[in-house]
Formats: sequence, C-alpha cells, structure tokens
Amino acid sequence: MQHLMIETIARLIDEAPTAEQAGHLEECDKCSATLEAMRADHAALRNLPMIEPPPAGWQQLEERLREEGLIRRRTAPPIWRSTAFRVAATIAIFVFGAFSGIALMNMQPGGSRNGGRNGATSEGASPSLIFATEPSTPEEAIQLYRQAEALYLEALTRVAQLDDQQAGADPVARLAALEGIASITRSALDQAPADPVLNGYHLTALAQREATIRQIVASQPGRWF
Amino acid sequence: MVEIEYIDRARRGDGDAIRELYKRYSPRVYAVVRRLAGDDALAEDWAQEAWIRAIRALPNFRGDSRFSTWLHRIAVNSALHGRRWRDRRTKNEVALPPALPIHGRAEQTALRLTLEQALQELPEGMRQVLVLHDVEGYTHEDIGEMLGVTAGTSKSQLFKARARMRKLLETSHGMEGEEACNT
Repeated sequence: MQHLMIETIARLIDEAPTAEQAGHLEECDKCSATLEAMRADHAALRNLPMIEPPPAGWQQLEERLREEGLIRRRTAPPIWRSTAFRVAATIAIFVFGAFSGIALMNMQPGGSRNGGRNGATSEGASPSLIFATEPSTPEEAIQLYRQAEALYLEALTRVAQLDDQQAGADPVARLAALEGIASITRSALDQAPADPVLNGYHLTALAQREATIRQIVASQPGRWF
Repeated sequence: MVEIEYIDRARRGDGDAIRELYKRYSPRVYAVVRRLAGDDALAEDWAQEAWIRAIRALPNFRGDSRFSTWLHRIAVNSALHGRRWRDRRTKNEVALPPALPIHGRAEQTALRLTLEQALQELPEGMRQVLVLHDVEGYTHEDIGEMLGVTAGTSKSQLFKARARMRKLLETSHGMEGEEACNT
C-alpha cells in the first residue's frame, strides 16, 4: 500500500481530502492515526498559554522609556492615589473645619466679613472638581487638600456671618452657603459613600438647608401652598 | 477605568497608564516573541523592543483595530526584525523548559512543555510559520507579508513544519519515527 506523504496529511488539517486520499484514509489505519495525531497537535498549539515575562521586565522597560522620554509624568506612589488617603484627608478637613466653624460662630459681630458674596465657594474651584482631581504627587495632594479646606472654611464663615442676627440675617444667602457645604459633603461622599462621619455632616447640611428653605418659603407673602 | 482611557493617558506619557497596559498585555507579547525567538535572552530584548516601538507609535494608534491586535502585530514585527539583524544565536539553542512559567494541570503542563520543546527544535523558518499560523492564527497572506514570501511558500512551510513537529513529538514519546507515511 502506498501511504500518504506526511506533508500531505499535514495539509488535510486545513483542507478537504481528494476522493483518492479519503479512500486511502478509510482503509489505512496508520495514515488516519497520523492525521488524528496531527489534529491533536494543531489543537494543542492553538491552546498554548500565555507566557509571563521575566519579573524585572517592567523595571527595565520603564528605565528605557524614561531614557527615551516616552514617560513624562512621574509614576505616583500608590498612597497618593488611594481612597484611604482621600478619606483620611476628607475627614481631616471636616474635623478641622468643625473646630474652625465653632470658633467662627463665636466671633463678635463686626469681625472679619466676607464682602457680601452670596456663594460659599467663590474661590473659583468647584468642590466636585477638587475631589475628582487625582493627585499624582504629594505636592498636588497637599494643594488639593488646602483648596478643599479653604472651601469648607469659607462656607462656614459665611454661615457664621449669616447667623449673626446683628448683621441682619439673609436666609437666601444662608441657603447659598448651605448649598456650598452640601456640595462639598456630597463630593466627599462620592469618594467614601459608607463613611459615617461624612454621612453625618451631609445629613446635617441637608437638614439645615431644608430648614432655611422652609424659613424662606414661610416669609414669602404670596405663598403657593 | 476603560482601556481607551489608559491608552489616551499612555499616549501622553503617563507611566501608570503604560504600566497598566504592560500588565494586561505583556504575557501575550512575551509569548509570541518567546516562541518566535526560541530562547529567553533574545525574547527579552525583542519584547522590550516591541513595547518601546508600541509606546512610540501610540500617537498613531487610531483605534481602527483592537489595541491588543495592533500591539500583537508590533510584537511579531519586532521579533521578525530582530531575527534579521541578529546572527549571534546558534541553531536550536536550548534552555526553554525551566524558563517557561506555564500554568495548568500536570498532564496539560507536560504536554505543553513537550510542544514548546518541539517548537524550539524546529528550523527557524518552519517555526515562524507554525507559530504565526497555528499558534497565533495569522493567515498565509499575513504571514507572507510579514516574512516577505508568497502565501504559497508560507503554506508549504507550514505543512513541512507540521510534519516535522509530528516526528519530533513521536520521538519525544518514545515512538521511533516510522517511515510508513513517508512514501
């Protein structure tokens, strides 16, 4: 019996056999076994796994990328990008802010005033923007921390001023200030939704805001309800 | 974060984004380069070269194909380019099995190691075509373009490579290569 050439059998993995080849394969156990073995080889080759590169691969590559100027931003240490860091910074802002607020609430009338601005966040930086910004260096993180702290203090200052009866309470301005605080607490909660301290601050701000809205509505002569 | 964002940041030179892409795709890049190279030292050089080329070319990546496909093609080209410019490797250099961290069940691992060993023992031209076609799934037209040969030549090399592979595997299983199917 004239067997099929092994290259011919290899071809039959992808291509259909001629009638003559098919007839031979039906009769010849050796050639059909070779074809089956090659099909198994082919399937096994298709399923070869990925191969992990050497452990030092990234360090070497990173070094070269830096040499070639293909990495421009410094790779940030994970701590500056971690949620834990943000939560810690946020809590610190609120703890510090709370003490500052108490101090401001106790200020004598006629103290430092905030120029009649209606919004609590008038520094030009939005709270959500600050919290959405991802610091890549410790310096950036500190800068963001200070911006958030300034926003919170400014809002508290405004609330303290508006609570000062001698200065003349303006519930609309107070509402704007409370909106500012609620905006900050909401942004903080986006980072740490389950944090009980932040939730407490947020609910307090919302409750104060609602009370102010009621006050405004009640003071309107032409109420609609 | 979705892949396109990492790509966009990597394009702007963000090291973290590049590292993330490396983490995702380096096993695939290394696998194809390693199998084409036939040894670890060359594979390390060529894989690194592939990544450098890819990051350099990232501003030109427009997303017409998947990033993984685009990167894979760069890796293959880097390996083939590297092959043309090197002559320091001696034919059928060995040292493959211990260096390959292949995962899976014991019998599968044994089969894979046998396959990898047999691949390595193939002549270079056959190995390239077999890896590109049977392992990586490229067409003969693609392979012809990559290697600068016709699709017919690629096909012919593939059948020879499969035949040689079968003999190598038979030998490795203690079955002496029989002449039965050679005539």
